[in-house]
Amino acid sequence: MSQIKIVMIDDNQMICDFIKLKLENTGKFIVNYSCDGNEACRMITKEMPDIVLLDINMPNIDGPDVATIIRESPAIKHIPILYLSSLITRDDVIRNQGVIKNRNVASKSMTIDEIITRIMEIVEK
Amino acid sequence: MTELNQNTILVVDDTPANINLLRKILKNQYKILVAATGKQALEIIHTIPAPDLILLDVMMPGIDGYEVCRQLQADDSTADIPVIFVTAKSEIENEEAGFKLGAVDYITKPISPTIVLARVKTHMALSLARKKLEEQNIELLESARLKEDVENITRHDLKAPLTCLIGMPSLVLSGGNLTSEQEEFLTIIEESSYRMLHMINSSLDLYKMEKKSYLFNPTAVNVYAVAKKVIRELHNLLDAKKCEVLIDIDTQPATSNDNFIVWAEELLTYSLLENLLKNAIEASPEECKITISFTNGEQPHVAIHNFGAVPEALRDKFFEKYTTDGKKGGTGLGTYSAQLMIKTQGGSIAMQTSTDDGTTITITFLPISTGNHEKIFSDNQLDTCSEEVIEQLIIDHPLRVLVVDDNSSNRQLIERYLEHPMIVRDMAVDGDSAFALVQSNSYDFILLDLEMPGMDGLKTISQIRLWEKQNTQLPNRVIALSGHDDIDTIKRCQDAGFTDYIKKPIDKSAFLNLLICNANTSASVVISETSTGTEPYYTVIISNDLQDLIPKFLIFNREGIVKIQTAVDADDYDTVRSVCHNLKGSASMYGFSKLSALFSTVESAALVAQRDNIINGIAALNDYLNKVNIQYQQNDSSITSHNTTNLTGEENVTN
Repeated sequence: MSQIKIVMIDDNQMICDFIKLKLENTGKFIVNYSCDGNEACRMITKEMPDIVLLDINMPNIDGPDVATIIRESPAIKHIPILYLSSLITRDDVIRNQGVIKNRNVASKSMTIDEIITRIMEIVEK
Repeated sequence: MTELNQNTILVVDDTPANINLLRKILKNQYKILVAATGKQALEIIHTIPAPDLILLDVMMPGIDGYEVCRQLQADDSTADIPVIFVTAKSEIENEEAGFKLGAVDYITKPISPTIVLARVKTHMALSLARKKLEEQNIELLESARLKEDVENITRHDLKAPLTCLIGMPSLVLSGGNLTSEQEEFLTIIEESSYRMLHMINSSLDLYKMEKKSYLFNPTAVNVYAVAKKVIRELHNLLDAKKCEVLIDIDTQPATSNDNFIVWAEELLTYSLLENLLKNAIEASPEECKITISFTNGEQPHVAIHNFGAVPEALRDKFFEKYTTDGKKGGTGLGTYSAQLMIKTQGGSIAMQTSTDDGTTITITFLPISTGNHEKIFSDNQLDTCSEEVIEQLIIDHPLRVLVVDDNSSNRQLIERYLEHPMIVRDMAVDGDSAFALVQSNSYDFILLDLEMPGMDGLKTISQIRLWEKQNTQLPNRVIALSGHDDIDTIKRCQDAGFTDYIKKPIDKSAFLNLLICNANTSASVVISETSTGTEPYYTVIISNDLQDLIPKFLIFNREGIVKIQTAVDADDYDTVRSVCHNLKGSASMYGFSKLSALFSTVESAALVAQRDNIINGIAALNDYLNKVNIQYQQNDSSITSHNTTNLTGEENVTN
């Protein structure tokens, strides 16, 4: 299988760097990220990733806003979104089997392997 | 019409003929003021009581009608006065402009008396109705606020003095040397205060249960003993009806040594049974027996039977609010609250009734599960052996306790509860003196009142926690004392760093029990955070693959701290909070849990705009970054696989 392309959007650059490093070290992923919701949509259109990792709480334009823009843009509206947030606990994710209010979710307090499992579940669907 | 309720109209026109005409039309029903220019009109409006309505000519030299209208709208005190423009037909295209400025209507010249009267009457009525609505709205808001205030008074202000009324009589009684009459009086005082507390609690609790914010705090309760208490309490009612109560447990008649233990709250269970038994006695025919049957099992339940039948019309809505058969003094809340009380305790309630067999109410409780066992402490046991309980607290060294409360009688009460030669009790009346004592002494327990003037409990605990961090002290066991026990307050206490929580009025056995629990449980926490030696520094073990990112990470944090400093200088606590929140997240992800905790502390301080605590926090953060020692773990997988709480890394304090 070819590498899975990911665009990550999180206003905390160190978190983006961390996830990018951890995911790319597995050899299975290519990660691009943006720390600005406004720029995110341009990057998604350019990269056409297999999945978008989206933070919820961001200044200016927050995660759900970005999701709305993605869903309203014909070219990218099919791309699945996985919310990756610290507002959601690992227990929340497990208890709800990864889906809260019809949204795919993962927690920043999960291990990297658990996050990869969530990504694979969604991409392979 | 009397002068008093005559409404005033201001007529503004630069043509005397128009003024005279309008005055003639309106003067019989309204008090008329006149102005010949816009300037004059504004002067009148601002100098004497404002008119109820203004008839305003548009075309006037100097300040025209539009400008007058604009100025009236711009001023809150005059914006509500309805303005009707009086205008020539040729100016009609400007109507829109007038409405935009806030005019309520237009009258065109030449003036028709009928139209003027009709329009003025309509708008006058509208304006009066609106004013009345506004007044009523204010009244409603005020009464809602009043209700809230009263609730707070009952909640807190009444409960605090009650603590002493409840606690002191038994202390006096245990001292002995009293005549039997004095003893009796003291017992009556104690019982009355309990009854009062019960009334306050139950009204507040019902409200909370309805709002689903009641915090169910169960223990093992002997419902059989509670039932016996209720029956004793209701003996007057029973005697009047010549009724008798029979009790059986698992179909056998109960003996005085029997038990029926469930997982519940004793006070709630008491109110619940009192409610249902009172109803049963009232509904029972005279000289009949009322039976209470206890059945043990997976679903322990209690059935209360009487020979009266529930009227047909009430059966379907028996447990609903305001259901009553017209009983004198009945509120229709008895069965409703019973239903709330048992559901809040995780149980259920059901009713069966028929004319032949009478009525049975069955309430099902939660059973005692094995997991709950270690928490079980019968209140009675503790009461009779509080000496032994205290001994449990002071196994190998004398205990030192600090009590912080602005209320002297509360301090005294706790002091008496902890009376023992091996317990040193320090007292403080406010947060500042408490904090000073904490810095110079080592305490086994700190009991800290939440509601104090000046530095309150929450502020005091943040200071203590921050001081502990900065000075790498062992965390103190700090227990919050408060008259409030809603989920919000408890959550706030947890977030602020309190070890535990106890509600006022403080019950002696519950209090000692809490101390014992905390004395045992927090020991391990204390050990894990212990640092020995003088100058500790922090070693963080990081997986090797992050090596390239760490310098950037440290710069990122230092830049973040500068941002926090800048924001504090500008009193911009929102920014402090959001930056801290962000940095807390990445620190925890990289495995710097101590750093994450420090950011979390500053974030909490920013939430309540505690400038000093933020500044102390910044110092602690800088200190941490200066002293932190980072080691890289070569075998990446061995670290990540051993750690499930965060993505990588482990942290130890060494020296």
